[in-house]
Amino acid sequence: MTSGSDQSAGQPPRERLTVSLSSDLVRGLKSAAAESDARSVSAYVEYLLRKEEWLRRWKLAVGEPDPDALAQARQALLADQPQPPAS
Amino acid sequence: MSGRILDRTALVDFATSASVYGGAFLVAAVEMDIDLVAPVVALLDAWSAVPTPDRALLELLLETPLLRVEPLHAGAAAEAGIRAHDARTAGATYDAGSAHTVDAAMRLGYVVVTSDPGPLRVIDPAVAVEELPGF
Repeated sequence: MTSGSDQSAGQPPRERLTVSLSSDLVRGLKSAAAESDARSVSAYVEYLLRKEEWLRRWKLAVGEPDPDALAQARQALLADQPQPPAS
Repeated sequence: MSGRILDRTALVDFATSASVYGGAFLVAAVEMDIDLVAPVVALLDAWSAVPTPDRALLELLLETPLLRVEPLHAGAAAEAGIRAHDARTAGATYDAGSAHTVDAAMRLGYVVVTSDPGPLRVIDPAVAVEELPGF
């Protein structure tokens, strides 16, 4: 693992980090980054880490979500079918 | 996949842990990379309704990775106001937070997550809503 620093004007300090991963994981990561809105693999990894950190903080604050409610919420978000307006 | 608009009632529900489903919904949305939008006027309403001890949770909610606050500039204010005009002149109960929420939903093509669809449908019966179940 190697590291270095890189800083752009107006941006928080950034560091460069080199990690070694198995080839299949690298391919998967690049593919997922390309399919996302991320500008780069680095931006995609940063998003994933921020998401995990936020989930950890949220669950620390309110507790683990109820499994049944979580399953129902996932189903609702997958279905993506809004209720028709009330008549 | 469509995103979701969080109206005042959803923001308050999530920030106060009022329902079991609300917190689970937020976790699921983040896990599934769903775009979340909080219209700024609905957010103002939520800040006014959330008790002091729960403000930290509302702050944390606003740090949700894919949540963005929808601003209200002059053009959007005009669109939202005009959209609410008919309801207001018909004597229906109207509030600015709902007007901004409905306008954002219609412009973005997103579904509104709410525990009270009534005030939204007064402004536009065609607005798509996903009602938080009562648990």
